[in-house]
Amino acid sequence: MTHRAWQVAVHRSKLEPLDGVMAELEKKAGKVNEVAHFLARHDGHWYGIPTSTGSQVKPCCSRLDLYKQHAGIELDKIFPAGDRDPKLTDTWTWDKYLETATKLKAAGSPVGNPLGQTSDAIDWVGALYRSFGSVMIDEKDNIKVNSDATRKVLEFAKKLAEQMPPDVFAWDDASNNRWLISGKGAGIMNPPSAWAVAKRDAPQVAAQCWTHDMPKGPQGRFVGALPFFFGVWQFSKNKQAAKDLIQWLSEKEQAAKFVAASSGYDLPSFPSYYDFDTWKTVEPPKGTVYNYPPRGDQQVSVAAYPARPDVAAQVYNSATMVKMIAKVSQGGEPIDATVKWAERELEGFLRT
Amino acid sequence: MPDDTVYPSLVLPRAGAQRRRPLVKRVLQRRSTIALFMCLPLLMIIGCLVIYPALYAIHLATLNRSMTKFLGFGNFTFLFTRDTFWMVVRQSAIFALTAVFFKALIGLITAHLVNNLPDKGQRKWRGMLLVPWVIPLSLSTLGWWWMFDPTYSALNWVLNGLGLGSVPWLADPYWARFSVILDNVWYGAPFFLIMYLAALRSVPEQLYEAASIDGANAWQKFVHITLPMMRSIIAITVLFSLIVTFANFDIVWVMTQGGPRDMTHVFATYAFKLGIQSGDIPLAASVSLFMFPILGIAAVFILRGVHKRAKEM
Repeated sequence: MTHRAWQVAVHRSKLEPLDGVMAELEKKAGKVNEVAHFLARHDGHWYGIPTSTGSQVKPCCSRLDLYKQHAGIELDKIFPAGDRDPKLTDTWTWDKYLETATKLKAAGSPVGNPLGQTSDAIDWVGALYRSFGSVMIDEKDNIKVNSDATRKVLEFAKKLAEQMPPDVFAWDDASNNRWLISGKGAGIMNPPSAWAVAKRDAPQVAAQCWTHDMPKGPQGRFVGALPFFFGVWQFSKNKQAAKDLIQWLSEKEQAAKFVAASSGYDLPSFPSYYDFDTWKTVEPPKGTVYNYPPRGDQQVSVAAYPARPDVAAQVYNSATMVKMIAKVSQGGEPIDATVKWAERELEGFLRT
Repeated sequence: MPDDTVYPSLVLPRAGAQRRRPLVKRVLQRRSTIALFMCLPLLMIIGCLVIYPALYAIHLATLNRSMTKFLGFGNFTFLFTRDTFWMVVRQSAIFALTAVFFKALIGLITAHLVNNLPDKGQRKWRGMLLVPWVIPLSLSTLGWWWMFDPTYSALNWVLNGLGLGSVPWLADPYWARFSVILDNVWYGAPFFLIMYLAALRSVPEQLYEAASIDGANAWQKFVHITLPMMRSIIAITVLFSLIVTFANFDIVWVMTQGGPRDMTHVFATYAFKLGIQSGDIPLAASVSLFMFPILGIAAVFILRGVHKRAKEM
């Protein structure tokens, strides 16, 4: 069975350890990324093997033409489909993102990132918080939300929310896709699904889409990840067959086929698989999803890291970090009151 | 006279005496026993799908998060300290009371309108007005959600065409509450219509005739005849609808998932988020059970009143 993100941690007491499968895969493919490790390895055992199918990250997907025309920057030069110049990539920061977002809004083509309670919102916001160094709860159950980093990210997010459509607070996981495909939006943060549908429904929009890295914050450049995992229930009647199948599905050859079938949407959690041709060749435009697998200084991240999984699953699913932004921006609540509210919420998540 | 200890077969039965059938056979042939057997499949289904889960939920609500320790009322006292929980209580009350009020009002008004239609055309109107109630709720809610969609809202398209601005149907918390209540009223009003239509048909015509003779106008007839005669059915439908509306999940989950900012969460959606998505099953069970004693007490009082009125009549 496939388990989404936190579900391996939530159900691990009923899942079969898959240490043997992971050991074989790591021999050939190397280590998985940090997020897959955090979500699937508990108490010294692997309870899930990251899938290719469905696993994703949410980097920027922007309209080259609108950014060039209204914000004066060429994203395909900053993040080309090949070697990149670190001096150029370093210019893509959250401050730059806000500056360009302001210009795009003034031109009538705002960026749009969800601030609702679904995973698309939680994932990009989690990366935002991490890039500012804001932590909700650490690995030792200490509540760390009351920090300068949190205040900085909320101040920033409040300004950013003003440059986005007012409806973003009601956006679900499909709303940002529709926003981009409609031609109204200059950028979203999403895997290539929006571009793939635009190829069919709005080819003139698809031809201008470019997937590229997230902006860099004071503590680094992070992209929200949402991996899926294969798991085997303890009550399964045929565990060995299940393990063999999972191993075969996770090998490089099969992963390449999944990635090709999804036009580059599926993202394996083994960094050694990021050299698949699909990301170089799908078009238009050519190289549009080359920068979808994390490259350069971009690191994968999951919201609520590094809290222990039982706690982090609650922080994630309750969308606490997104609600904090919604409270200060849409709700107009003071930042200090919002931080205090978050502290009370997080205390509740620590109950045993 | 023959001695019946020697010749028992020659003893004739006394007049009026009957042979007693075996007890088991007597019990099995009673009408109440036959009725019980006929109801047994339904009782088993209710037992397995309603009573057992309810009792299990009560048991779960007394456990800690990892379900290893007995906490008694610990989960409930914890919930009482959560701002989000009290917001959910408030929202559930607003949602249920507002929706039920408007469903009852619209149901009553449309029942009167339909009742006054000529018999010939009444059936098709009844059929059309029942359509919202017969469409599967998740499907119709999806339709509403598309009408409220932030990018492609049909309602906003109409408003813009009339020169009016767009409404943030699901983005603004208060408009989002309005939207979920609107969908619930649209869905539930036909139930009230059908119940009240049947109740109106049962009011004796002679009462209205006598009132006309005494010079009563339409409003006086409604207040002094129709409403008192329908009081029991109004009480029962309101109670039933309150219970169902408090437990609503589909509408809120499909439309808003409890957002924005948890401001449309009701008990069922909040319990789902806590229990199924975040893995805290005991706390979710506590949330689900919170309304049980309150609705139970309300049901006792309302049904007692109905029973008293029935006895008077």
